[in-house]
Amino acid sequence: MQKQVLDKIRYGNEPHALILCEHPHTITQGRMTKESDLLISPLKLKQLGVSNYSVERGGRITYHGPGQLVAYPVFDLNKFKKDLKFFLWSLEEVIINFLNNFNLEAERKPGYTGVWIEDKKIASIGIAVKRWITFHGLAINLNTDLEYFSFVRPCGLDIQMTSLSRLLGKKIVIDNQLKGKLVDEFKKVFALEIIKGGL
Amino acid sequence: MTKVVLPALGEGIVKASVTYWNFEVGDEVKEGEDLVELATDKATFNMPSPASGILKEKLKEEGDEVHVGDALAMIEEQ
Repeated sequence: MQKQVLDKIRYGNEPHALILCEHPHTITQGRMTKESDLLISPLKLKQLGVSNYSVERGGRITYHGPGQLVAYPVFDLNKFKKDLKFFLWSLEEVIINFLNNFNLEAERKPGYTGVWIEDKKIASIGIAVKRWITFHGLAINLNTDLEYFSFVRPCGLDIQMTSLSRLLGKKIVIDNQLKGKLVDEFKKVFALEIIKGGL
Repeated sequence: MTKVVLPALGEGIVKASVTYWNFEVGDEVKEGEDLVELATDKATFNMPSPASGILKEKLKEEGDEVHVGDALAMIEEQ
């Protein structure tokens, strides 16, 4: 689906697109993944009902699943700045501003793309670019069952993951209002207007 | 012959690794087709072919590091 949108932007003069979703239990392995990043056998994963895919984004291994809000910005960087670092920085900015809504001090960790709170990682980023049009994107742990991250070395690092519900000590409902907050931050950081679609 | 050169990918990014060649030597490529995929730490970047022709030579293999401005391949225009 992201690629269909990308082709429309590439060949059909369509404007930028932003796709929000949640995934079923899935492990994805980005291009830089090492074999040692997966800590469980593929057979065991299958038994647990966790899908496992190699994908063409940057970065290493991660987990996606229910309770995690995933955003795929299919943006034409020809119209912003043809700079991968600028784009990754801007995605971090979106996530940090989104988490500020909950009075949380989220921050960057120099040298480690993503967003962190108290040295634990709450959001991960991995992107791909064709003709300076982006796909793949970011994942923020809201109600994510963090146990599933124990099957992998997230992003190839020995780190702890956290989630919004763990930090706030309550369940977070992923509804349109919450998604709207994330969309608002995208609008602000990238100075975009929503011209069609909706939640 | 057209040299395929790694363009600037962003401020402070000096190198990338070749992750995937979409074509083999001897293949015909069209200008704008995704020729080769490169990766930095958190991003992959698909390099479009700068010309139409035959892919004559790959100067970098999958797994190799490439610096901005380095040549990746040679394309013989037809």
